[in-house]
Amino acid sequence: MKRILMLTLGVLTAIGGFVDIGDIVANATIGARYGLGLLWVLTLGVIGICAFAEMSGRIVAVSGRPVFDLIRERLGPRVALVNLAGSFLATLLTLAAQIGGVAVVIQLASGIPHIVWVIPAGLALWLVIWFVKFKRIEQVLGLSGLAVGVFGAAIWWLDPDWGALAGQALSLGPAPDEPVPTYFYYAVTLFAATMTPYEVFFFSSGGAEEHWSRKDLGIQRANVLLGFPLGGVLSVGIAGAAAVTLLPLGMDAETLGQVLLPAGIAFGLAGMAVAMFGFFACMTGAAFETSMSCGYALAQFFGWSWGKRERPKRAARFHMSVAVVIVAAIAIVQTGVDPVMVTEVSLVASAVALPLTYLPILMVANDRVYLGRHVNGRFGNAVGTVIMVVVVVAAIAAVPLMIATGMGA
Amino acid sequence: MTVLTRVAAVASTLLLAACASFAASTGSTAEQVAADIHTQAQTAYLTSEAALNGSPKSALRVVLEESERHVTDDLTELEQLQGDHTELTALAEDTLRAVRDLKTAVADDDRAAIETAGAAATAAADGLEAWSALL
Repeated sequence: MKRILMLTLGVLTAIGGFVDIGDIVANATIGARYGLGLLWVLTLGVIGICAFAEMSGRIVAVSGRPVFDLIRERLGPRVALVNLAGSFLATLLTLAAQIGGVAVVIQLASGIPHIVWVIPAGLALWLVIWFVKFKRIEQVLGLSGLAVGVFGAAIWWLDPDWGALAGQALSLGPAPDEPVPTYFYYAVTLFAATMTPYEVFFFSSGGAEEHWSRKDLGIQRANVLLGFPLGGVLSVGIAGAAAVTLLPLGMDAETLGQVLLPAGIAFGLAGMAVAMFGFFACMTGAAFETSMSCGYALAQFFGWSWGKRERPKRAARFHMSVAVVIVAAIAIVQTGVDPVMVTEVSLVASAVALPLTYLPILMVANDRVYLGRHVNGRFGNAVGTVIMVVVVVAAIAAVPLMIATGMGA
Repeated sequence: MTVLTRVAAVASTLLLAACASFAASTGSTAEQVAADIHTQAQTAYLTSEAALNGSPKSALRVVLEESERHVTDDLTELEQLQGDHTELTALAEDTLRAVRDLKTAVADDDRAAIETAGAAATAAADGLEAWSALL
């Protein structure tokens, strides 16, 4: 049992990275439009995040220092500043979307408008970060988020045409009547959703908080190889449920309520309740992850003391940063902006920022000064290089595709 | 021609092609409005199925309120569009009526009324598909 609980950092990172409000609605939108036709993108993204999260975890375990800290030291403050600026903005927008998403889930459960719940949700997040231990948050939210697996169960319960689903999954391009640019817009945003920068910053900083060392290399790899593919499976469940119920009707999925419908059709009250609970846990996990990532990035760039485990007196600026970004996120959502729209914009911003995050990680992971004999092997570098090419292509294509397709209209 | 110029030329060509495709992918304003109304009609149908299966009223009410807001906005947009959109407006009004009837039926736990409203939503969706096919 203890060994299983040691893997919850990877599970939480994946839950927060793969099943936040943007991913939930994006997967349902893609499922409603293309079925499982973009499964190849999700697979590529899972391979990519596994590769780079493993590098990040290895860097922490061997050097004892998190990724961003080493990027600043190895590549200089200018490169780190560009990295910080790019990923910080995307992460802050994502945090705002998660707080909004939590409020929307409470609205679905209570019927009371989501705007009422934004400040309480943000305040509750800060109180959890302030009072609850890192490990406990990790375990509770990580394991609770697995409730989203109800969508996978709904696919099976609704008895779909498995042959049609398999056909969709094996296709590598859009249907003849589907515009190619829109297909690739969704491919880019789905890829960006699986490889959002805050995932690796949170994972590596979390590993530092848990004092990973060389003897924990096995644990950090297990975290990666269990957690991220699990997040991918949950994402496939959401897309598949939409493929089975929404795609045949030719409708779009743009709201969290529409995403929930397959769970209600399959399992009624129980299905929707479990799905809402899962969404609540996932988005709270994502909010925790993004708020902490903002704090980690700022503290590590400026050289402040940092760490949730550090007493506020010893890491005052870090804890203040986390509080300030939560307040900023609340302010963004309180303007009444649609949380789903915020996250769609943040995904495009993430796509553009991807090379700034992952290229430095690839460089540090090959630096013997920090990693000695634990640098990337040939296989690791081959995978890392292929993914980097995809990352660069996605970064270049993201904004033109967004403009050209009207954000996937 | 330098490498950079060639890359810029290729990128510009691709972007122009993408923009041309954009016009084809999004369709006219009326088509976009029709697609949204169709989505709301199907949402209402699926909500009726979820309601008959015992899904929680609070969640279903939120979904239907969102659909109602969408269709109301779509009707406003149709009024402002130039040209004759009588048929599409009628279909939008059918959809709005179905959504509102379903909202009442869900609140009242009236299974018969839920089934009727669900059927009306499906009929509206079918009408919208026929309208789109004629274009």
